[in-house]
Amino acid sequence: MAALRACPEARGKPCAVLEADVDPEAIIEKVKLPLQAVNDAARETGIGPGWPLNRALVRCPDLKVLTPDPAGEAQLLREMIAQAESITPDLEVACKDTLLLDLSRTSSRHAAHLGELEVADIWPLHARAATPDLARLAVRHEDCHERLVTSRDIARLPLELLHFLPGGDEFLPLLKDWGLSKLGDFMQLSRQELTARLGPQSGAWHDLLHAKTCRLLRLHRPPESMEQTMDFEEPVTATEPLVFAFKRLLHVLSARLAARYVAVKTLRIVFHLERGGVFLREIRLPEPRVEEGELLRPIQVLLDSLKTGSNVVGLTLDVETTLPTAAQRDWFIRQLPQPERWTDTLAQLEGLLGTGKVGIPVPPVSHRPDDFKLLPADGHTPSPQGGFFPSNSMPLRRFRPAAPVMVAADADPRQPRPLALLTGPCRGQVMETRGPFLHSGHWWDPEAAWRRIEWDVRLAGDQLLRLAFTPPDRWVIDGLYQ
Amino acid sequence: MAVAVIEQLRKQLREQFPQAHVAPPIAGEEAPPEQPFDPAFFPPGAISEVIGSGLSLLVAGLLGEPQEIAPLPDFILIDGGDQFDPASFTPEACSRLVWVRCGTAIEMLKATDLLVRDANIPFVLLDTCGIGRRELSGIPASAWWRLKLAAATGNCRLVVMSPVAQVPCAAVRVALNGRLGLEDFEFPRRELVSRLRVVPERMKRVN
Repeated sequence: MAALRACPEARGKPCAVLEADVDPEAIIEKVKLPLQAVNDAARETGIGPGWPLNRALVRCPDLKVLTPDPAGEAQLLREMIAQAESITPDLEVACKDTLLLDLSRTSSRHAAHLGELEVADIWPLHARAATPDLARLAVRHEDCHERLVTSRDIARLPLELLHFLPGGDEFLPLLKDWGLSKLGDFMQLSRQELTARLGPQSGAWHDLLHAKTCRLLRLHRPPESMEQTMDFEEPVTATEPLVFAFKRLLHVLSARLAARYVAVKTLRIVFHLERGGVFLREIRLPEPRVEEGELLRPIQVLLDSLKTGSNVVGLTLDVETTLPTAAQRDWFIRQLPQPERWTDTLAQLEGLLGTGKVGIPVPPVSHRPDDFKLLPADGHTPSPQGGFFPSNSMPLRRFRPAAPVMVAADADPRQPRPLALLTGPCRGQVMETRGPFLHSGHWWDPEAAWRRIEWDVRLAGDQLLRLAFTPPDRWVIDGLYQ
Repeated sequence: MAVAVIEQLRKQLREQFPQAHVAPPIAGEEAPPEQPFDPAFFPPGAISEVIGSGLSLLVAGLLGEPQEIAPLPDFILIDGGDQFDPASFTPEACSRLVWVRCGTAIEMLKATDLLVRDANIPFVLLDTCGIGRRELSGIPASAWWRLKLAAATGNCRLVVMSPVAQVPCAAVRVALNGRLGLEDFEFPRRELVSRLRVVPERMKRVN
């Protein structure tokens, strides 16, 4: 339906949507993909969902294959939920095209509106049954539409409906080999024997078809927004008024959180600036928090180091919520003693040193000099495993930036051997060398290509250092070995 | 009576969590330790000072040669001169370290104060080698005493690596003697670390 909505010119023509989201032009001649859904015009030609595309095209040469439209499907689902909530608020989203409604506490007058629901100019199919799973199975067959279905009605349906139950595909061929054609044939088998031969899942199907199991619905509850916005009468330049404003917002937020038994996982703060535009900051809390003071602390740390470049004329505070943690810490997994304090300290360090100055270092994957990464030190980002080994056993003390020097070298222009360092922080005659070590990279990109020759040298004063020569004539000291 | 109860508790714990009470491997089959330099050498809740040559090997010895990525870092390196080179270590060793890159002595001291007071990772290495001699000598003694108090409060091991002695309140001061030549580059790092000679320095008040 969503695909048809996105492609209105195909209305009235036989159309189908494939189960896989692939380019229909590319696969028509190649793949035997099953059809996910067909429209009425296509159904009249005799094809249906589950048919392989090549067979469907033989039966219906004019079949138009549409691209699935996930955004449109989500929109349709939202419309369908909105319609269903007019009958009962207790509903479960069983899958992207099926809703399960609990009508047990709904008056018959309201339940009668079930047949009048209309979503995007069509009437959704419905079936009623004593249990949710039975209704979900029954609505898949046209004989059960718009009526109350019992186990006796289910028994008359074809065995292929088992395909819609979890694991049904696996046993369906075997059951057909046993000569079963109707669900009733399956229901007449002994539950104990079925379980012994096919496992406990078949026993669960048996109970489901006999309406012996009635599970609770996983009720759909729309996400609730906790967003709050505050506009200032005058642009704010100092931190104290911002803290005061945040206290007010957090006071309301904390009460709402406590009433809903949820906690904050992430704080999203948007500063509306006087010069226009916004300044967005996200604070991920190490542990879910509810208390006003605990929420204010990371915000204060943020405000201490905040540089917006303009006055603030408004604030928006939004949060991502989660269930509060009630579990005890694990004995056998190492954890930080006070993760919330660690997050504060990292934020304070970022304010003191700037961004990109604190983290867990990751050695480079290339041989480009000083090409490292810093991962966040909050422990949420796993470091990449292995794949890099240092070039020698002595750690280097790297100069950042590398110190340019003038070097007296021998006459070989391709691999000049250093003889003495004439300028720079370490001067003297080169007594011993180790190398040359040739490094290069990105040779396929003329602008990013690099090439250098490295030497480990010992100077007359027993200093060990790494020299690097970059053609045509640049020498630098990469660092010292101490 | 109390001893019997404790023994009974130990027995129950051993039965409940056998994996936590696996016997250590016997000496003949013992694998080489992943960490050649023992962090317990430095007293907790105090400042230790390490001077001399071979300070990079001290960091290498502490990080060791682990086979697995550490889930949480074990050490903090406050790098006064921003001279640490991640390319000299494996990713597994680097995963044990939080690297704090400072540009000045003031930044270095402020960052140290924050991290020692935090005490979530109670082993802080403070590398002052990249700081200029003049700037380093300008650090007042009171700053070190303040850090000492903070380390004692958080039971944190603070190890200051410096070219010359400068911490007046260091509980331990040792000099490393790791004179190495280019020929030593061919030896494995473990052997170089084991060659480091640790010489206790005579304790005296500096500054």
